[in-house]
Amino acid sequence: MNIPRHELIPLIHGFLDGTLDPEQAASLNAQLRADSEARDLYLQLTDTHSCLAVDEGLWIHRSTGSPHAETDLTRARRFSQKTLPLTAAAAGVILGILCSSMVFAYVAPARHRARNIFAEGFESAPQKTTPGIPRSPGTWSGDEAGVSVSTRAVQPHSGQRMLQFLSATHPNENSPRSLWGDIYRVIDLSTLADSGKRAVRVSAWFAQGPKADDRKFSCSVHAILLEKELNALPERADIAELLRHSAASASRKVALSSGGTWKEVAVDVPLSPQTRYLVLHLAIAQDQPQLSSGSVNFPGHFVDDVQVSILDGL
Amino acid sequence: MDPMNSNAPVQPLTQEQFMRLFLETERELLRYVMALIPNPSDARDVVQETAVALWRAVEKYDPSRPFGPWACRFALNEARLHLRSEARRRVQLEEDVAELLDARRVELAKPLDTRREHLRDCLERLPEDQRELVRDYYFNDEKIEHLATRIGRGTEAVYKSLQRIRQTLHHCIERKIHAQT
Repeated sequence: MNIPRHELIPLIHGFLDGTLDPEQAASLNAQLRADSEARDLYLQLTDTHSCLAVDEGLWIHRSTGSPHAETDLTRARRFSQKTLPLTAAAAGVILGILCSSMVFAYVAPARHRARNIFAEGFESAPQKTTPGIPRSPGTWSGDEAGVSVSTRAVQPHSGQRMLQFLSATHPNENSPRSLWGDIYRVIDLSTLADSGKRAVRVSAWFAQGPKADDRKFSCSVHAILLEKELNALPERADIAELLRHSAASASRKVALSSGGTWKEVAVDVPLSPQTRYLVLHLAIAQDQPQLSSGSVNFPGHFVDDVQVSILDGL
Repeated sequence: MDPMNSNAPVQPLTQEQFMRLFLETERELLRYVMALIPNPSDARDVVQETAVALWRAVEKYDPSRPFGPWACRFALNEARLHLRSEARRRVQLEEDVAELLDARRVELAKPLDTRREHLRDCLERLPEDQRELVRDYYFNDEKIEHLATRIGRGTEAVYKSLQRIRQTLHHCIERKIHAQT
């Protein structure tokens, strides 16, 4: 028997929000099974819900005169990274990576065999990063970051140490404007035996200390694969240059919540037999507020247990 | 036809071609999957599984045919697997209901696209506080608990507000469609 519309609508909304109990869900399923009009209504309401979640174009004001236009466009671009991790972002600049490189940011299911080839817990890493993008494997570089022991709010994810992001620039660089604290590491993949279709997985754990102000932060993992020798890159290559020369890349950006809870972020990138290097790029970004000038200092942002694995048998 | 068992000889896509096609289709795949699995995080997981399945079967794709419908068949398979695996753990659609909805969604593809066009206008007509709430929940991906704390209300009340706003948007879209006809 069909239930009245005024009873059906709350069931559908409750289902969209994940708040139905099993009895209500059974009622909704029965109604959808029996009533074609209920199915149409469900599909209409669900599609509105889906569009709100995935269509960032909805949030860009048509009128360029709108006081919200720039803010919303900026947010829309940022949002596209969340829903579409196939879009790369680095150093605060959203890059149109489709011009020359490929991006693939999907975490493969657990059916594959994973071989760990790199693990960093910062237990014996150098105390501070060096500036710039590294030109050889073996060191962490980029913006200012340093090895830290437990703080009152954040304990290492494992072991005794972790890496703390300190600034969105480096004392030797003094960027005029930066919202992103970026660190890099090059991993040599050239010695891996070719074993068919496979991917590289990069994962890292991030945490943020107690909230000190209204700023909002995200963390990101970005894996960039190069088929070229590092010395074939321009001498002062920045992240945009690196992406222009990349064979494939993947990034994922996730909002951080305060309180010292660790959050894992991982990306997978298909690996070609010609791949020589992985450039591992980890970052903390200040999402709000945006700044017109100056560089951000990070009040308590950490990364630990960075791992790189090869997924065989795809 | 089983998407994994096409017998026609085809020229496989290169990795780059595949990724470009997938990029163009990913948003629609997510929208498609969310009709059956409305939780965005779960739907994204299903699309991720779909990407892996598509990549594994890329040699079977015939580039002379549209990529979207081919990819949607894989997405439907992955959504079914998700529904089966999660059936005991959480409240969700039953599989036969999902099949019915999927069939109807194909028929409603164009009207749903029209509704989406109206959604933007309707969203802009919302009062600022409602628009902010929807934006923070859907667009900025804020958790309900965080939203509730920030605006000083209970989670139940925030859910109710979101439901009322979605219903307002639904009515607004209906009015616009009615006005067009």
